[in-house]
Amino acid sequence: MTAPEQALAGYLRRQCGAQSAEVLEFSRLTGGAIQDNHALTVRMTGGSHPGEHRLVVRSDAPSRIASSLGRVQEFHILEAAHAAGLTVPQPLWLCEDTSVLGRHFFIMRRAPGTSAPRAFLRGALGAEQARSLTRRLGEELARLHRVHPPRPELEFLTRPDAPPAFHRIRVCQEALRRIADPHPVLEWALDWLAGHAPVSHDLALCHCDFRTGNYMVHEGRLSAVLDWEFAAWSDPYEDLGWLCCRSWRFGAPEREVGGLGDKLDLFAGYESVSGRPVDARRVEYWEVVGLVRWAIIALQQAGRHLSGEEPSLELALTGRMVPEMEFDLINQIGRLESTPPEASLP
Amino acid sequence: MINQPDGAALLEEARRTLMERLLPALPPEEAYAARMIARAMGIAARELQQRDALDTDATGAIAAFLAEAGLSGLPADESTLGRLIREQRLPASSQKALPDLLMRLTRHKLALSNPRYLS
Repeated sequence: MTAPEQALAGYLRRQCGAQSAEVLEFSRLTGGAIQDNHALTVRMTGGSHPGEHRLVVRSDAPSRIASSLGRVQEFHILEAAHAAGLTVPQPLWLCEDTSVLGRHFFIMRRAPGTSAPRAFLRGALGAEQARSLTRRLGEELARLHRVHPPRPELEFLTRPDAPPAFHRIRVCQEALRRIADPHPVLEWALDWLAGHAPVSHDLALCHCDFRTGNYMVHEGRLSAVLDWEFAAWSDPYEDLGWLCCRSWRFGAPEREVGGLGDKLDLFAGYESVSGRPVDARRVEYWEVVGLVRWAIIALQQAGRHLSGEEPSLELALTGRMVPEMEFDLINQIGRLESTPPEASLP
Repeated sequence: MINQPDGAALLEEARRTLMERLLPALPPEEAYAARMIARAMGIAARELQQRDALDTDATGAIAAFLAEAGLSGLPADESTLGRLIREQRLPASSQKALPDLLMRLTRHKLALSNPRYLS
């Protein structure tokens, strides 16, 4: 056993009061620039969790995006989402003792399936499976959005001091000021967003990165919603807009919901849980927010390469994707400007 | 005088060799890196061939827009445009022409970074 395996076996033995804990598998999982994920399979005897368990160990990575949550906070979010009935990997143990692995980590159950878009987009699923998965994504989001502030266990999430759209616009404006190159399209889009922002003060727990690539599918069904490190109190429409944003359709732009399905099915699923009709126009507004937000994240990623902090061809090329978001922004704002609100239903 | 083939042609040929000969021989886990390299070479080749003409067109289009807006004394570049939008200093009469100008500039960028996005 390697040192981390020994440390984890000892940790689990103590945590579960087990007589023994044997590590059967410990391997790095792909993905995650801001956290490390390892697959862990253990067999324990005695204690609270006897038997074999397929788990994931999620720990803070050395580099972190400033706006993302650390593992301790993410664990509490995951617990709240699990308690709200979402399909998430069950969170089991949080370890804040850095003597075990040298950093904070938590352990959750490992969901079966894959989050790789090519495994379930562009015809990989049958039409009915894709429809029901799309509907299911709506149900999941509606369940999440039943969680409202205040929640003592989530007190680390700050409440925006303005309507969420205005708050998001301001954050984007400030980020754009810190980027050296001029981006007139983004300035123009932010100006448009400010002029059309919904004044809603609705606040709910939002995932804020709920998109294809961040949920897992197993045998055609949703098996887990992942990657909760951007969760925040926001307008529930932010999640719907991000999921439908043109940038996350993975080569199937005609399927407006993450390259997977149609908005009508997403909204039907959402409404079946929330009991409230979805305002399609407001989703489109938040799609524009999503495009701006993703463009700025892409510029920040390119900035990590340009500054020499993290030389990387992938980060460099991400910066050159920004004109794609700008192209989509001009088209989408143009469409919204030329269609009266009542004509925008899908 | 640059010898033939020029830089853009060399990049294109190098890219073709990478995609057609090396990529099939690479282990699958390296395919993504190879495709990224090919993409970077494609962008660099297109910049060598087209950038000057696109920049000239962009400067002309921004200058014409500024003149129409009564702001012809300002430098005709994206910094000026970005600042005018942010500070809301563009006259109402030029708001209608602005998306067309922005689309023109964006099409230029896509012609270099990902021309397939325009099709």
